[in-house]
Amino acid sequence: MHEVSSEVPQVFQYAWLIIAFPFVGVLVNLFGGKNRSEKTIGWTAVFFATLAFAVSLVVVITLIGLPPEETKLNAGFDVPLFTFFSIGETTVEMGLHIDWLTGVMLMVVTGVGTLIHVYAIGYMHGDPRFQRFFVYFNLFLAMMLILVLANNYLMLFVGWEGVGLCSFLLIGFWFEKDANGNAAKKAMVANRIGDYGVMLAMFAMLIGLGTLQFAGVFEAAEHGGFEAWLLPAITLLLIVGVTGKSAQIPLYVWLPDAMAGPTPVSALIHAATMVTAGVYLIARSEPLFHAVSEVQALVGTLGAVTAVWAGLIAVAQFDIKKVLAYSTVSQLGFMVAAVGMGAVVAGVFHLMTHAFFKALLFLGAGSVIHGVEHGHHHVAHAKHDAHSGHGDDGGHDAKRDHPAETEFDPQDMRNMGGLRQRMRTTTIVYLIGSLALMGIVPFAGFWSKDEILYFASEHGAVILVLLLVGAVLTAFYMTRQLIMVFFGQPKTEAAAHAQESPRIMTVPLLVLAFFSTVAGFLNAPLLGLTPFTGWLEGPEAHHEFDLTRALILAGLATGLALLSVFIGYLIYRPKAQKAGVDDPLRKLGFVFTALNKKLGVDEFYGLLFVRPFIWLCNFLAWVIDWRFWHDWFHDRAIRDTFLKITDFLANPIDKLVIDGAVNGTGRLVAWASGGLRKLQTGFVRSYALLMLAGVVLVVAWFTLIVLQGR
Amino acid sequence: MLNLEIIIFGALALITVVAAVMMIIARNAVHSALFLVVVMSSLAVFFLGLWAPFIAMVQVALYAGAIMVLFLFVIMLLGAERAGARLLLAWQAPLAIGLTVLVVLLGALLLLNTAPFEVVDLPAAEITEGTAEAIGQALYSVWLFPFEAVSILLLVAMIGAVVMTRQETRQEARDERKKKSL
Amino acid sequence: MSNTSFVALFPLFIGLSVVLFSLGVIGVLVRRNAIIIFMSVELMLNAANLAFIAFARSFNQIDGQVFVFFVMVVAAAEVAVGLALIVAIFRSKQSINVDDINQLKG
Repeated sequence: MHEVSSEVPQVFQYAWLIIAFPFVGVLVNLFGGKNRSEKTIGWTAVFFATLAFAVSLVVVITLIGLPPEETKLNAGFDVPLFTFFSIGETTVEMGLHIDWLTGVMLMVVTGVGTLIHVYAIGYMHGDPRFQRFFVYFNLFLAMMLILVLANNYLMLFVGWEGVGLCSFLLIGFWFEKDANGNAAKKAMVANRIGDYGVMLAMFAMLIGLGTLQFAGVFEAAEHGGFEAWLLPAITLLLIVGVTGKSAQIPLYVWLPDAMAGPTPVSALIHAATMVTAGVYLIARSEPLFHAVSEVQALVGTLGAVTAVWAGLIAVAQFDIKKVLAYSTVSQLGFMVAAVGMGAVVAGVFHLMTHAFFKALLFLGAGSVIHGVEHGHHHVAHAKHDAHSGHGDDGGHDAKRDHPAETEFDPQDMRNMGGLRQRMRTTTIVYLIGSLALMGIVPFAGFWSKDEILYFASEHGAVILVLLLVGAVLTAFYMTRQLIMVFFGQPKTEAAAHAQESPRIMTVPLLVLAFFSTVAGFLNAPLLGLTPFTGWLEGPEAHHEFDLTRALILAGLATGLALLSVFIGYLIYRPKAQKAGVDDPLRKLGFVFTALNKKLGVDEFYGLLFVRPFIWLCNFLAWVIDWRFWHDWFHDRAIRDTFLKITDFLANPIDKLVIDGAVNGTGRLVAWASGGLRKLQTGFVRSYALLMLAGVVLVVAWFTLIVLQGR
Repeated sequence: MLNLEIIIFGALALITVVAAVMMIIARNAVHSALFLVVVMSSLAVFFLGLWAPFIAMVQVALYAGAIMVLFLFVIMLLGAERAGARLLLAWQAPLAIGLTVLVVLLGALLLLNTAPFEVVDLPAAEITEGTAEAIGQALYSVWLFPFEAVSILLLVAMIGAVVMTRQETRQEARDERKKKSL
Repeated sequence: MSNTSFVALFPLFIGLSVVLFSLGVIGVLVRRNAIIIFMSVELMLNAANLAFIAFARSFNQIDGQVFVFFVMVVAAAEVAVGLALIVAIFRSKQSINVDDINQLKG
């Protein structure tokens, strides 16, 4: 399973270009992007993303052409690049690992990434930090590619941290607003907690297994011969990292807040790619998890619970992006549950389809927001005739142009409605994305979700039920969102005047919609199509496929989803909505309020961690640092003692002893030279006399010698 | 044994020493110079007696003649027969005399305590007389290089003397101009 | 001068040389008149010359006399420069008292 083929295809020697191209893009835009037009900057970034995509495509085509047993998950090819460091026995070789898991991730990251780059050119139009945005975007791409191409945990961690950094930078991209900065900090802190897990896991690997290379670690894990605690420790610590990066309970709280960033960021980083890094990590470390069934069960349950938990919260959100954010958490729960159960193929497959339709939904949401802002801007201008002309070029950044208009929230679904008339393309693609997400035949989400449910049914009832509930909730909140946003009558002037987004934004949407529709057929066991499984698991892995059970499950899931959609329609159909109530579910009372308040998790964390932490910080700052350290230790213990010592050194020692010695020497010299000066009379005759005296002495000395010699 | 030569020597030596003492104690510089001439002349006689006729001749011509004339000329020129009344180092004179006597005594003590110098007595025929010819032979053979070096020394001294007086002349000319402009 | 008397006289020549030299030293140290000091130096040179000649006679060597010749030349040069100096000093100081010339400043 772990033997690495000796013959690495020539193409893979150039796979590092995939990472290099976005980096070049970063450098070009960073140093050459100043004072360039938006078009130049944007298309430069897109160009380098496309180059990375092209090389990825070549790699994937090469993979298709190779025998599957050489390219399946964790077989693959190692392409060594350079030695990162070598300490004693431990050597970390930087290199690329290319197998089908990498291939899939490459396609998702570069493909979806490139599309979102294109979309961002339209979405970020007019932003004063346009250049910076695309520098960050390319940097993110490079980091994500390092993450998926790494052949060892350390290099993976480099990418892991790099995407975290880009995430932080992009969430806080509009840092003028405090909330955005706080969201960025929150993401950073939550991710740091997870990152420590990964780091500790790496340390454990180094201690227990002596290597960080995937191949070495997995081989060692297979052969055993280490202490029993090691694998559970490593896997649990990795799970900590996964909960941070992939937004699982308990660290998921950062992801909804991350929606503060620009919408393309939400789509690229916080839906399609970065948040799937955790899923990728578990899939990549499958041999480790495989060896510890208890942890697998834990991961499965964790994912399933997260799926339901986030789905519940999503039901009661009003912010269009928040709904999608909780939906993402929920779907990530599905993936984590899948890879946790050992269904790597299903998990990764769902990762891929989710990347398509969630990116589609986010970009669609961005398009909606864009359109509504446009409409709002239009209305505002119509009202304030002082601003003559329509000047509706402000787009989404109308807020920054007109601070007085901040009360209007273009992301609040209560401000929308009836957008289908104004934004036709967006409505269609959003519908496709929603259907894919709900898991309705034949869209991509159906196939991948069905696969996960199938594995769950093999695994145990609890997870299966939880995931089914999650699926039902998904269908419900998406129905709610669709109706609130696109159907019925416009609830505000802005929504009534909404405008379709420009082509540069809708074209990527259409491409993603296409993939959201067809990507599912890559792995449709009901139809007998399983190339995806073949790629990842190799030809010999032949699962017993129970068609009857699969059909029952598929029917059950689809039926439940459709039922859920119907219920949603009943509740939210325009007629049922009474005036004055923003959401019919308010009838549920405190349940709805609790869900709307995100089940109080933030407050709970605030009470449990943040408040004690702030108290501790204050204690440390005021009592320990200021009073003890500064007042007592520095001022009293060190400064006063120091002053005493210096006083002692200065007055008795320095002034009396040292100065006395120095001045004494000076005075001695002055006195001696004063005496000697008298010899320097200037009288030639005196000098001559001294000479004579010298002669007398010399002769006397000679005489003495001679007299003694006798 | 007291023969004529020793008597002559004694007399001449007495004259020399007395003249030397007089030279030192004479108040008038002109007198001093004249006493020095006496000393040098009597020394020339000693040189003659010591078989050095050329040196004796040069002693008279150069020292007693040229150099002492130069001295006298300078004394007369400057009108500096007396150095003036200012006496700053009165204590120096007895000290100097005392020290000189001391060094002489010490030297004597030293000489008396070393191996005595044997004076070899040669027959008159074998004695090399310092005639002009003999000195010339020596100068132009063994001592040629020092001889040439000394000639350069004389040249340098001459130029030095000329330059020194010339500079003073310029200085005086400058002073003159200053006075006039004032 | 005959040989016998020279053997007897040789110490006296040296003694005379010593006396003259000592007198020259005393003259240099005691007198304040620069010209007399100069003459005392000449006296010392002459005393040395006497010793040279006496030793030359005793070693029967002409070299001693050649040396005296050189001494005379050097003395002549010295006198030329020295007297020029005295003249120069007298011009600026109006004095040839060496005790007046106790400053490097002209």
